Amino acid sequence: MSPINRRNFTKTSLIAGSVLFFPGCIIKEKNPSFLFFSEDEAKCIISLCEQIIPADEIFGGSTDAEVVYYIDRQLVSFFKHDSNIYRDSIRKLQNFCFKNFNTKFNKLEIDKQIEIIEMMEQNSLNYSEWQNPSIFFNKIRLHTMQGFYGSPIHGGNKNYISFDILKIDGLLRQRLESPSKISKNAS
Amino acid sequence: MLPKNHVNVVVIGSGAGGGVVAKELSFLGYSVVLFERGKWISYDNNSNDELSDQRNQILGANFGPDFIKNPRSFINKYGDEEVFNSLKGYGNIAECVGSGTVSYGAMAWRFMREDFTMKSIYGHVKGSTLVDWPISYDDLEPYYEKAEWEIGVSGHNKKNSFASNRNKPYPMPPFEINKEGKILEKAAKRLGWNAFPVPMFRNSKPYNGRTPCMRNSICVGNACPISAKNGTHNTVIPMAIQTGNCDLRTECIVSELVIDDKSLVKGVKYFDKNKKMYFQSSDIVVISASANETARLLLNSKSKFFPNGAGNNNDWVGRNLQSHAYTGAVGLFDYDILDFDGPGANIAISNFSHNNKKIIGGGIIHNEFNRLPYQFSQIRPPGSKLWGLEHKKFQKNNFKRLSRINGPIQEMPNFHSRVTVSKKIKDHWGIPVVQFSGKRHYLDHEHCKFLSNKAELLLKEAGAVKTWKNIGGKGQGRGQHQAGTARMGNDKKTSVTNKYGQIHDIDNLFIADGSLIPNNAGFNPSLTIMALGYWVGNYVGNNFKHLLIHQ
Ligand SMILES: Cc1cc2nc3c(=O)[nH]c(=O)nc-3n(C[C@H](O)[C@H](O)[C@H](O)COP(=O)(O)OP(=O)(O)OC[C@H]3O[C@@H](n4cnc5c(N)ncnc54)[C@H](O)[C@@H]3O)c2cc1C
Repeated sequence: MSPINRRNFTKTSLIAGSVLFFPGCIIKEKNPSFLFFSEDEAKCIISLCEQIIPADEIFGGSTDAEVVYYIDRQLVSFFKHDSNIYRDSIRKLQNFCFKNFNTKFNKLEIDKQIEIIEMMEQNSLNYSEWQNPSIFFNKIRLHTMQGFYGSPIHGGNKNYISFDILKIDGLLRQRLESPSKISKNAS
Repeated sequence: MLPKNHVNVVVIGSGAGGGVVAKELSFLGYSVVLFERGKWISYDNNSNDELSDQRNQILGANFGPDFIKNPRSFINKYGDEEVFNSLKGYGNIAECVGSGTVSYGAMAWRFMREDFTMKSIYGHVKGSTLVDWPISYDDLEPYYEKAEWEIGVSGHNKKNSFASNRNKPYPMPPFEINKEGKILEKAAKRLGWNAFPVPMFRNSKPYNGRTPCMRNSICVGNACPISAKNGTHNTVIPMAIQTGNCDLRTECIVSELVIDDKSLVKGVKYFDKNKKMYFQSSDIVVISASANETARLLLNSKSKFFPNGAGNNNDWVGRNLQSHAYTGAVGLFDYDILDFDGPGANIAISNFSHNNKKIIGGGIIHNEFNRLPYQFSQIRPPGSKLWGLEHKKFQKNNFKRLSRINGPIQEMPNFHSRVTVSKKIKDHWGIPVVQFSGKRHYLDHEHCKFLSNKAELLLKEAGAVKTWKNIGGKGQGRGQHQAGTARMGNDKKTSVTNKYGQIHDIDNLFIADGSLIPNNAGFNPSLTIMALGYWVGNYVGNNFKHLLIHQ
């Protein structure tokens, strides 16, 4: 595949992915209520997470791994101290998008979402109501990595998707999957 | 009249130091109460999940403590007190029977002869409290040997040409070198460096009635499923209990030492698991609560002659807090260099521990324990994308292709890096908590650069297609290798205990843990802490025999 083709392919598959997931019905079926996020907030987080670890030609991304549940669960337990910054940042991000594009972040095209995240990362949004979006971005970036690459006992990494991506097999796979009788923050 | 439940010895904390002391004294016939604030931990209670293992501690820590019940604080850059809202920076080892020795990586290093005479070798270091230890390597050598045999260490007797002399071989042969180790070993040889197998608190053959290691590659931060990793929880503590002289009381937290008007300790106050307070009377108290908690306990124990805390009349308790600044380099290979054959770290180089130009001390370097998927997601060459497709692709392609060489640098102890107790914050039991302040000596970061360069050189020589450094040494050292807060010394004015761990001016109060260590060398400290446990235990055992006659 030439680089250009690959890019187009990725792009379309991502859009397909996003369209597929955004009605929220899949999430509703699984878990009718988030512990922390409102349905609307969750959509925004799902989009952010998906751009942080996107689906590719072969493997799913954060949406498939259900990373949003990992973050949601931690925000009422281990990351309680981060709950304000999450709520606040989602609101600011949505306001920013409404102001500039007249729609929500999660309704924007993938490329636009990526562009905005890059600006968040570099604190270059130029939005006076949100001076340091990189603080939030770095948090959600780490939390997404944890939810995607950590153990499914905490929510996230559904069906050990990331272990497949990393080609973790044999004994190492067995050991990583084995015990987990207790999940400390199981709610 | 002594209370009915009076015992000879109270030992506080059942980790590396405390487990050993409890065993030594109960074997000699002393009645011992061993207090441990945590519980017994079994492998089945824990997941191998990296987010809550004792290494990452992102979602709490499987081996404790609960940081909500046990808060700690630090002085932030604005000079204000701030409570930790996670275990990040909290300075944790563990809270369970065996403490860090259950979940540790289990490298079993002896310090070198030079580490005991740093001041004589390197002279005064500006801004540092670097000293000679009050004891020498030769003093401690028999106790290192005892620790190696009773706890169980595998290692090579000859291959580390920089090791100080040993009188008896290791009880077990070293582990076979894994794929990565073999490649690095050859590269080291080409550079003229001496690579050798890492000594390990692990059974390389059946030992002490337990099976050999199955070469699990993810046991750093976790317990061993088959008990082939040796800590105090599966060796000396069960031995102590078997004598019938040692009463281990778990889920009991000691809040204060009770010191009388004759400058003697009479026993301790503690809370049991129902939060009920008791007094335990004893002839002797040994504190082995780890560098951070031992300092806290001393500072929280005020009495007539020690208004600023036990042993603190010269303001040295809690000072010189050190740990290890970790530093090294990462190499990317164009083939799978990792075979995930445990224990992970298995090849080391000690050429840079001492005798380096312009460097005071130095450190060991070794290949790292295996990093799991999340940790791996944070290791990238400088300038790389930290998210998105590119990040995911790197993750996908390189999980088995990264080699990381790391090592602990010898930190320069300083007076201002310290543990005090908070005036405001109290824990679940109402006890004032640890508060950290100060930071590392500026040289630590410089020394880290030196060691990272060596690590990078090795990776380049080994054929890495890309290498980069991660240089440590900033911030405060207070974590897993915490040490130095109640240093031993010959001069009362500049130390907390004498060379036997006996607190100056409180003849029946001792310390046996990492707090005693004046300078923490460039090696992981557990074996040295255990050796100090035997050393202190031996002294107490021999010098309080009159207590046994009356029984
Ligand atoms: C993930 C990890 C990897 C490590 N890898 C290595 C390695 O490879 N090699 C190495 O040499 N070292 C390693 N270490 C470090 C090692 O575990 C510590 O250096 C060692 O355990 C310190 O010994 P200590 O006796 O000073 O304190 P600890 O072993 O921590 O013992 C202190 C005990 O006291 C208890 N306690 C504290 N306060 C109270 C109180 N008030 N009342 C009752 N009980 C109390 C604690 O719960 C604890 O059990 C590692 C540690 C960790 C966490």
